[in-house]
Amino acid sequence: MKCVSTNVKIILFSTTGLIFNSDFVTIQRMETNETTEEIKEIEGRIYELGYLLLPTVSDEGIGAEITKLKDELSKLGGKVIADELPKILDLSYEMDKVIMNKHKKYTRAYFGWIKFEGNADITLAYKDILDQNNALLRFIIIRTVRENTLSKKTFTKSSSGKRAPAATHSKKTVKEPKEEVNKVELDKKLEEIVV
Amino acid sequence: MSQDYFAANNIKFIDYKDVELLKKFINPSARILARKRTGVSAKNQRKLSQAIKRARFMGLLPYIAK
Repeated sequence: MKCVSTNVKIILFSTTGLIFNSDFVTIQRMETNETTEEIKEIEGRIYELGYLLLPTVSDEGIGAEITKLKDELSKLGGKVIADELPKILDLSYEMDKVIMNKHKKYTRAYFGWIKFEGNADITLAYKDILDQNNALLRFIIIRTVRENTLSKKTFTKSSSGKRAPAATHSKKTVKEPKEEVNKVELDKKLEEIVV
Repeated sequence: MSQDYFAANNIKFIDYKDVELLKKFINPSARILARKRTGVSAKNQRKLSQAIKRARFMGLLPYIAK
């Protein structure tokens, strides 16, 4: 927060004529850093591209596709912050894509993401390029934050605020040490019982 | 103590890629649970539903499950 002072001369008019003419008055106001932060934000917004690559792309082709995506971004002036290599996954539902005027259906795809710094113009131009990429089944560009957004696996509380399901108390089975039975002794005892 | 899961776990940005987390907030039919059930704040419920919808679009979560 910083103090900004401005010199203002106040002159008031009415239909009858001049009412008030002041000397220069210094007005002081506190300016927050919000405006400067806003400017900074516009200069370097953080975006994330999530994409699904066609399962037909070969393992070697995936590396080439990623470098292609990154190169296109850096050409436009974007800066890659973080990324994750695509992994094959089973899609939750069937997706289709028109290739050579034919609808093709896919149930699997490679999912990966790239986090980058840029601005609205860069992102819009990047979107247009991605629209023409035939190796992509689908993609999404969202605004995000620079920090890692994937939550850690340490959950302190149940999801719905309800009581967490009671842990199933497994009955402690105390293992009694098994006595080793000597076969010869057992036979003797059995014979005694029989006799 | 706060009922809000995200406030309790200090999660400021709900990521659509965090499927395991999002699955906690959908029912067996894959519908988004109401705020009444999730117990999260209105602001976080909006972020949560946005994240679930993005995950659905990317095929990470289903729109509907039988």
